[in-house]
Amino acid sequence: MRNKEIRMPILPVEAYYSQEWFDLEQEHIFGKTWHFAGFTEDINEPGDYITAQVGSDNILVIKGNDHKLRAFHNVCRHRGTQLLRAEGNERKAITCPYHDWTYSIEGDLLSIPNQETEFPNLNCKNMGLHKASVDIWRGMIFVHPEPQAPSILQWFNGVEEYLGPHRPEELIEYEEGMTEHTINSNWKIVAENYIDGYHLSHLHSNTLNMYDHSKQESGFVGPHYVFYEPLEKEYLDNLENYAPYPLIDHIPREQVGAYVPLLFPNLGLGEGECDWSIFLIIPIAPDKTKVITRSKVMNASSLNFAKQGLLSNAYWNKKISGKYFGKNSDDPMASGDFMAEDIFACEQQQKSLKSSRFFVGATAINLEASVRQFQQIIRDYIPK
Amino acid sequence: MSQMQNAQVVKLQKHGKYATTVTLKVDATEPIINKKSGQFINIELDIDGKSYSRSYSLHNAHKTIYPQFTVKRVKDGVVSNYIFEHLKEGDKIRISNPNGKFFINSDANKYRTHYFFAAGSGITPIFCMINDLLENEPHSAVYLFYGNQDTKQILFKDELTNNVEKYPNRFYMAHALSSSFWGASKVGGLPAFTGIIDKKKVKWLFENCPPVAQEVVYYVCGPGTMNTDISNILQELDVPESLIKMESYNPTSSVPVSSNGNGEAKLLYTLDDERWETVVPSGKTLLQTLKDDGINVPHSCQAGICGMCAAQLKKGTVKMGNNFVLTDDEIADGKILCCQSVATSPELEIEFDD
Ligand code: FES
Ligand SMILES: [Fe+2]
Repeated sequence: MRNKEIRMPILPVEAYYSQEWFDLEQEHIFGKTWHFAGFTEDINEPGDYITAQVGSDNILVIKGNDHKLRAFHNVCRHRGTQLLRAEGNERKAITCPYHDWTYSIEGDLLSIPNQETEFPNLNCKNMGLHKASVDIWRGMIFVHPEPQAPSILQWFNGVEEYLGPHRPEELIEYEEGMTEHTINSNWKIVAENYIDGYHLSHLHSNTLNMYDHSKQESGFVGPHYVFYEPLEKEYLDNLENYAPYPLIDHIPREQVGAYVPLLFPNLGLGEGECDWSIFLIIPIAPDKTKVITRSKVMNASSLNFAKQGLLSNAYWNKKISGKYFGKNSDDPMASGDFMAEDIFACEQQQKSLKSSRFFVGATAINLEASVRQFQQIIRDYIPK
Repeated sequence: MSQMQNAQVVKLQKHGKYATTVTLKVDATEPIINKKSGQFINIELDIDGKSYSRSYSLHNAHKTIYPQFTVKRVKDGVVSNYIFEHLKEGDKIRISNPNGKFFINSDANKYRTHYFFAAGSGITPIFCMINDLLENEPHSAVYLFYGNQDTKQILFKDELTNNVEKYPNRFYMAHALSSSFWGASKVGGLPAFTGIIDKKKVKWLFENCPPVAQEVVYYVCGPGTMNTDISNILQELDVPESLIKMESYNPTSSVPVSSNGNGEAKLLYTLDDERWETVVPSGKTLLQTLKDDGINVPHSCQAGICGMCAAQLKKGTVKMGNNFVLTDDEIADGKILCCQSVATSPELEIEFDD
């Protein structure tokens, strides 16, 4: 008989392709949790704003002259038009492009064209923008669709001690680290792949081999997954020469390694020895997911980056390769790129879901415990 | 109002020629409980056979048997100079429980950004609030803009500077020196600007110390028009008025009451068991009228905060400006703050408690 712990699925297979499940998750998970919206440096000047897609809600975050952030649902109170585009600056007020209804930075409705004749009885006081919540944690801006959201400290309570000693607010973003992928699979398949400790030595046998997967440690803090593994010995012993970029200077030697949490529900972090990145998993449709990555590195000169690149190049050329040696350079499994490998695996899994023979045969007691627990957490969020 | 209890001076510490920090000891069975940092106690002192009372902000938050406060010397101030020159360790004084509505409830679970704007003695309640927050609200950040005439006048300079070092990511401050001619410089390694705290300086603070935690509170405490000036600046910079907390700190000059009275009134008052009579000019506060008559009525803040000028209204009606002390029940019982009251009936009778 199979051990109870290793039985799957905890979620029914429809959870990975039905619109009904997708809608339930939007309402009960994405509508009720904190979500990454950007880095603090994305909004520098008063009037700067960004928008974030949080499940079905679009939320705008704008900075006042007091340098405080305000968050609102990006929906005009007149006929619901989306007010602001992806990012920009609206120093004085927020004006809807459709009929020029204008709101203050506090969300109050300030003016309506032709108000006397067209809206003589409308009370502007009740027509302010719908408020959302915003806060900053670890150099990142988070939003919550509810105006009176529970405190972000409470939400991430206990997580910080399992994260790296990184200070992301002191690192700077580099452009090549900004990527956007559309993946043909359910967002949970992408998330489960992110926290699957079993595939690391297999799918990524030639791409993530600078880490010692046999020493991985992981667990959950509340709904959040936390993970750490040290560097592989040869790499660690030659870290100064082999690191591809300048090492992050505030990580003590004994704490070097990869910290790879998944902050519930959809923000992965990759906190390494020389870079720090986010991996944001945005559900688009039951079988479509967008992944955005952004990365930060030490604020060092380009000369330092070039030097470090030269030093380490030979090592990486030898170390990293595709899992399969395909002739076709488009083959993700021959690409030598772990992201391409993951996308490939996720899409291959999604393809099988509707197979008459689809069944999860068994799952690893230790290295896939995270996947089972993640499913259980999702299960618990959805009312029966 | 509140009950008084005996206390003994156990330590006096002078800050140059400008101020004295007084540490008292109260009976261990009756500790001072300052639940809300920023509150003050009233003290009563006998000087040359006369009894004086004043209110001072406590440094201590929470429960203590060693209440401590700092008194800045005021030119011609009877009490502040007495404390500086004559008060000795071992002397006895009488003190009240903590009072006042300008305070903070520090909370270890809160994640907040606190901006403070203080000038002169206005630092005393704020000093206590800052210490409380740094010790007891570990996730929150605290920023202070602190105005003084010159570097010699800066109360708590070392303590505040040390806190910047002790809490590098949670506390930062800048100085404004109104009679410095040096231009921008440094005090204790921290930025010091010339002039009073104006809009440019407030903007500088927000740009250089933007809020991380997005629950933001603003506190202002200073003399004269500082409170309204800073409040206006903050509102021009998009701060909602509801987030601004203020306390006037103005022990020497009077704060005008905005409301007008209804013509002259006859005032009968009982003070120290004796009855007196005077005339209150239209629109003048009862306290100001008595002071102008040379009568020594207990008072301190003259802004409706300290509650020392409270009296019982026996006859007639008054209109009150600020009231941060009296409860609705007390007002219904006829309690008034003389510094905030103008006559609205032709005859008044009031009684001061002893
Ligand atoms: S003098 Fe303080 S309340 Fe009147
Ligand atoms: Fe992977």
